[in-house]
Amino acid sequence: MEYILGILGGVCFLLIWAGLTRPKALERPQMTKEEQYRLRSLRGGVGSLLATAVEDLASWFQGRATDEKTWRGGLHARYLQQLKMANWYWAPGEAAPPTPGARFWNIETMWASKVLYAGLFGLVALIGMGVFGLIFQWPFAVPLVVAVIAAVVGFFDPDRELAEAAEERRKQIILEMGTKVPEMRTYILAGRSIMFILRDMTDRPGGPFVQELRRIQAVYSLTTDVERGFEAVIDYCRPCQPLVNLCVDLFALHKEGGDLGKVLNTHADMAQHEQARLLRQQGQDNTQQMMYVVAATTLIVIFILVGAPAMWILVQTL
Amino acid sequence: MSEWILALALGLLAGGSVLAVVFGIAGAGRREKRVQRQTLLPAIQVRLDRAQLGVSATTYVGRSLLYGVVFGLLMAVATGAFSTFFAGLAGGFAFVWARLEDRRNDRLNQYHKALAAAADTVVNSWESKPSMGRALEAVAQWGQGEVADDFREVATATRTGTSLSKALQQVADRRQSHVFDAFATALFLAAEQSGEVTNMLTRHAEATRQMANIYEETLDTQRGQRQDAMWGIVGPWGVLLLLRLGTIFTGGLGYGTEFFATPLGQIAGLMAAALTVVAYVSTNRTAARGMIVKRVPLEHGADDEPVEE
Repeated sequence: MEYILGILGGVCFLLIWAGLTRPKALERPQMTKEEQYRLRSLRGGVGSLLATAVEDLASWFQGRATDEKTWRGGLHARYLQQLKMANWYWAPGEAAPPTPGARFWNIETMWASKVLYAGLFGLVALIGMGVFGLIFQWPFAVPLVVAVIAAVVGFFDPDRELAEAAEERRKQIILEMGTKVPEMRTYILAGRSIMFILRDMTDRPGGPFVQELRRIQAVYSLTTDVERGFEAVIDYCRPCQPLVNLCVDLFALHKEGGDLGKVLNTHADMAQHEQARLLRQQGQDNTQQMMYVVAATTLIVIFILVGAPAMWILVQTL
Repeated sequence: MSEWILALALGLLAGGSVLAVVFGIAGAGRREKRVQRQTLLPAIQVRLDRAQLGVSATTYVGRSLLYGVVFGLLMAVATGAFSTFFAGLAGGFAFVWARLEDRRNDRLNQYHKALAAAADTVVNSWESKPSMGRALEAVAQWGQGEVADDFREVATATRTGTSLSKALQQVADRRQSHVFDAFATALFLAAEQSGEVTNMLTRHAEATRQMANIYEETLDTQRGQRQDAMWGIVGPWGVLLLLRLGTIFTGGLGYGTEFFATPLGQIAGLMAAALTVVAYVSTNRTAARGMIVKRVPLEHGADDEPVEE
């Protein structure tokens, strides 16, 4: 026992020393990664001590990313689509991440995040359940099993977070389209061109739909090809069907010609219909979520307020 | 075996705690310092303004304290545990905030409905004589409530030489409403257009009416959800209050009085009260989730929060 405590004390001392002096790690050119491939939460502090280990382990899981020929290829393709839909994806060559507050921004950092959170969840569960295990004299296997379960939960936590972010942004785009597509129709009915619409609408504040219009505008300003802008939005927002439909129709009109007013008329009506439908659906989902909270709270509070005094009297009288 | 786990757990806990303290101290000097220290009331005012609740921080705090004291006293009377008072006090702040949000939403709903009517007024005015000045005057004269005020402001501004786009932008910045933004775009385009725009304005009036209807429907859903949840959450407190009053009126000491007078009872009461407040805040947030479009900044960092010390 004394030896273990001694070793642990030594490790703690070493960590404190490292924390205070922060010795600069040796630069290894072959290991140097660009900022976009480093996990944000492991920069500086205790995290930097773990960074290399976590990222190396993550690269083993990651394999050859979307080029992978095994089952991981499909998984990575899904991750990539979700990263793009959530507007978290920091593409190679881009100067800054599109969403600086995101926990990760590409497949590399996502796997690092998965490994890190699996480890953290597992460690916290092991310590927490270990303490309880000692107090209540549980067998050693109990904290171990709980720690493994917690690690698995931690491993899939980034998947959940990313899926939620992508879904939330998809819904936000549909909501915004309900007001912005009729506005686009107004421009067309007033005789303005699609390029004028893009320029004017992206100059003003807006939500994620305006952000996607800015993507078209940005690609156009680089390539002077608006079709590539539409393609970029279709690629990024593939799960958002109303936006994809709008872009495909605008793309086709730009290529083949046609009545833009008629097309936008249909899309404006559809966008308002979709907005109303989504709001109703969201209202139902929110009600369901709230009912879980209300039911759980009521149950616990009733137990504390009404049940606990009765139990206390029972214990006192025994 | 348990000694091993104990040694490991304690060692890790001790090491972790010491490291946290060391990094806390070491990191303190690197925090960004703000030129001026933020006091409490201005900080609350910033949040109130951002949420467009339309009250001063002093009013909000005063009203919240008043409700908080009432809730705290009710909880303390219901349980007999004074510790619940503090959770009730905190509940007052959440309750007043939720009420102010409801009032803001109602205000915005009325505004959107008035905008839909204003769009019709513009179409009628344009059909009789295609003049933007005349259409703005018509809304200022026949429009409802705040919409009439806004259009009076725009009409006055344009008469005194301000461009229409600038005058509309000033109102748009203040209102921050997608419905107004779209309507302002239509007005601006109509003013700029030399040809026939009645069709465009008519289509836009229809769209504005539909946007106002969707917004109202959303609000009704939200309000209903919030009320249902609130009654569900405060229900147990009503049950306890009735139990206590019932037992007192039948000559007893009051249900739970002995238990809630003990330290364990005080903690249990505080936990129940805190859980109630947290659940109230959480359900209010859930009710509004995904129902409004969040604005994104034009450039990264433009809308970032100031660094807190």
